Amino acid sequence: MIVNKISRNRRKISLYILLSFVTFLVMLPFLWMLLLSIKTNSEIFRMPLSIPDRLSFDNFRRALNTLDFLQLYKNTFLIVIMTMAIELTITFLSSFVLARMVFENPKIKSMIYGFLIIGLTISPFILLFPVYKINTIIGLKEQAGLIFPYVASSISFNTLLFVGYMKSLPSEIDEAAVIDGCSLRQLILQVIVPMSKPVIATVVIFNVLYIWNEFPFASIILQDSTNYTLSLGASFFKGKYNIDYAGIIASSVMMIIPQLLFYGLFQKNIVDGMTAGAIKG
Amino acid sequence: MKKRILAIISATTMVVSMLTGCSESQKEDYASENKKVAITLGMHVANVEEQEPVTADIIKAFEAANPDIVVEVKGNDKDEHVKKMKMAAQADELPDIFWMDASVAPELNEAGLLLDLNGFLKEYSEIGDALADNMKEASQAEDGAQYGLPYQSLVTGIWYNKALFEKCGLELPVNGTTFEELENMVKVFNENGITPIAQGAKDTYSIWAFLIAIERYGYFDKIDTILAGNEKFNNTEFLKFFEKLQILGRDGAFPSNAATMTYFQAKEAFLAEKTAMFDSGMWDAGELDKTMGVNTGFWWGPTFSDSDSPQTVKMKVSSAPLCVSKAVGEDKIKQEAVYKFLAFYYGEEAAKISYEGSIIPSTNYQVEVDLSEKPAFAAIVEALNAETWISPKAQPDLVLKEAVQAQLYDSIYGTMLGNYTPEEALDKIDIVLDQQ
Amino acid sequence: MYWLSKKRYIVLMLIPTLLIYIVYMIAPIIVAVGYSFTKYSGIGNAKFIGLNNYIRLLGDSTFMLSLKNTMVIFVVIFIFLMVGAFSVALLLNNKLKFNGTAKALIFSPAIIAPIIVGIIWVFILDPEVGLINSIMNEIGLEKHTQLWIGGDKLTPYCVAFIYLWQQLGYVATIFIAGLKMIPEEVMEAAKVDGANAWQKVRYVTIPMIRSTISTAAILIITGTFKIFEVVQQLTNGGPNHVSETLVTYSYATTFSNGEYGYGMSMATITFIISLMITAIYSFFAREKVE
Repeated sequence: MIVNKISRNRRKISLYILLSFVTFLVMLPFLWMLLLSIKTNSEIFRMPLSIPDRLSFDNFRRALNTLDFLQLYKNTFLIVIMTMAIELTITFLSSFVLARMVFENPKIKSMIYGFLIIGLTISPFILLFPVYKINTIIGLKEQAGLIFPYVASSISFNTLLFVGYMKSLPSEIDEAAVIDGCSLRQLILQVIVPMSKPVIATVVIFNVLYIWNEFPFASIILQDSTNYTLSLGASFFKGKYNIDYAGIIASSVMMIIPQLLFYGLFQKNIVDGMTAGAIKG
Repeated sequence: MKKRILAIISATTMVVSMLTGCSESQKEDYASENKKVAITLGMHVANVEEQEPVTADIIKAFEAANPDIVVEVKGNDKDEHVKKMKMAAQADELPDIFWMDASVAPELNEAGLLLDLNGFLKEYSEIGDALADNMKEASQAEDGAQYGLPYQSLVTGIWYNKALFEKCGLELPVNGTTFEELENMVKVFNENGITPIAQGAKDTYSIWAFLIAIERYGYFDKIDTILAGNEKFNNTEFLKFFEKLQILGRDGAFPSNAATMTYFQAKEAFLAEKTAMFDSGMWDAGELDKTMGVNTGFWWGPTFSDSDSPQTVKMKVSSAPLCVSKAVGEDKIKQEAVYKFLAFYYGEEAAKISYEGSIIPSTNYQVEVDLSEKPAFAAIVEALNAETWISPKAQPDLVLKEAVQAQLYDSIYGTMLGNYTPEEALDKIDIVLDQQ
Repeated sequence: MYWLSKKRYIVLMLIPTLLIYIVYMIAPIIVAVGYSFTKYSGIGNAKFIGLNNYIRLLGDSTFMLSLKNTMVIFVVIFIFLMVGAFSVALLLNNKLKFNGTAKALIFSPAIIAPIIVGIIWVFILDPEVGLINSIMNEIGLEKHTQLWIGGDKLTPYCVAFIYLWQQLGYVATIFIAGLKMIPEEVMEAAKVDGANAWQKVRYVTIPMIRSTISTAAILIITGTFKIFEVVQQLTNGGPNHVSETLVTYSYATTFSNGEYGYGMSMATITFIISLMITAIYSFFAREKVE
């Protein structure tokens, strides 16, 4: 018995060591970046390993002077809110149909599902040119021109997660609801949506981060620099003949920290959301 | 049922019109506000104030002189900008005036998207006189249309660190210093643990000094025949030139990590006095004055004894052009404002602002500027004064289409880094040329 | 449920998604594929040239090289990310203190913009100013320093490693989600039967989370063929195109070289390859389940 306990403790300790090691390895690049962010451009290139003599926040000051972070965050969140409102509504409804409603011909259902999933394989760079043209035809530009491409590129991922999750909910719920005299609208709003909170949280987290980080579409469609989103910020440090690497790194740090906080707030939901969502994929 | 769909549609259009609303209201402002004309300027840097301060100053001075005109600057870094302009061209949304890659501008012109500036040059004849012929010809179509005017002068060459030359007991390079002498410098610098020439291959276009050198093998004598398909890039003269690149690479003229270096890192290496020479141009003069000051020298690069072509080549040519959107021509008020802006941009006052900011404008006004505080810039101005040295009509890469241009860069760096033999490198250009 | 499944409800609820998806995803793909049969610089009019772009691809050594690099990246990522993320998931599935913190930290690289990821890693891998070679020089391993990026061999592996770093926590989270679904009793039963740790994983865990594995696999496959920013930041495909991948090469051709039609033919091939691998994988994964 005692031997067993010792060996169990030993196992536990080695697991701790392993876990700390993996975590440290993953975090190392961030620590390196933090170190770089307080060095000057020439220190970065001349003495990469050195610890700077004194703590200097010049890079951060320069980043704050160059970028209007308030405006960038405001622009980004405006697009995030519009996009999320549209995409959550429409993809939740369409996924509900695919997960729980009865089709006369079930083949059509799986065909639509497959069709909506194909989008996962598309690199956004293929779409830049055509999307720009389509925007022109419809007459959308600036922020309005970004929302629909973002919604479209979220559809595949959302469908994958929503449909998987909703399929995992027991079918008795619907029957009970129908017997209680629920309408379809009541069923969705009062039963399914509350039960799907974890997967909705997961979808929100991933899509918000996607828009936060998205570069290719934003760089093409946003013409006016007052509409720029966060991810375009780095381009302000790049001239034709000069780049301020230290400035880019410092501003990246300033973009990452709020992201980490946002993620930290919601991360508990991610596993729950994935749990059912990912299983039936 | 139908009602509901209608409701959805009208809700969507409301959202959409809310979002597009702002741009429409701007147009109304433009009409109602008495005569205040807005012109848009599309630039190749995101942050004009910081990265093109001279242009920013010129715009400020222009707006001060023309209170009825507002210049709205829109910028992106170069690659994004070119991509964006191509797309805007599809949608008829080009800015009124915009910077354009010299290899793309002709295509925009062929597609009928650019305004012929001959009208402008006629109206403001003094501007036409202030621009040298090779500056104007750089953006002329075969039918004589003037589809752009040079943004600035493109002056390129090799910066060198006088102190390092002296430390190694080497003579400073001057006009006429030969390739053999350069080989010797490379040898001596390597013996002293100094990298001879800073080059960053990750930015493939950063081969300016070598584009001067290729003209010393008769580039512009041959290029028309080559482009017409009657001659190859792989010819005896160009081969000699590429063999020189191979020799330099083999002798260790470039940093050991040139392949992963960007042009910006190459510059850092030179500023850190880790390298003796630096392939670059006029745009770095300001920065060099701040860091290296009187230690900075400027050189047009080596001459070659095995070439049949003239060796007295310098490089002051048209940089990429500023183009004007065709749509401007349809709006008389706007066209007038654009003309006023161009007249100011290519005028004497702007030239003075330019020189003060260590940028050589495309015009050739004689302006009084105090250069005593600017030794690096003074070095380049002095080099330009070598009267017997002649500039070609353009920088060699700028007369090629984008794909050929990219292959020329790739081939030059490939040979320097030892990835291609000279023949291979030249054949690659011929292959791409065939596909155009 | 049948009673509520009226056709008009179904149609009404599907239409907004399908409409946006078709207009902003499917139509652009069709347009892009259409351009792959033309010669088009991105300006003016496209000229139809049939299959010429595709024929040209066959003789394009850079294209073949970028195909090879992409496959190297894909294979390395697929094997190591599946195994690595699964192991991390098993590790995190133990009831240890600080588990939540570790999980969050390991996941965090997945939330950062790929461009920033690229910038961070340039300063780690760069042969001259990067962290790795600097440390090796410092501790007397000068002889073993490598051209991690910018040489002619290692770049694809480094790209794969960076993706591994970025996605490890993400894929592990998917696996953890699957592991959570295995009923406690099953594991207990295996223990009673005297199964050791490896046998439990091999004969209980893996079969029970098969569908989770296939979701993870599909996300990895499709993700790998979209890697772009990291390569662009590390080497930009160079030197002399030796580290080019399908996406970076088609991007350079399309946007830097102004050969839109030719670039789109590469993009089309990339799309087809990624679709095919996904389809083949799904096919075999399904076979096994039955």
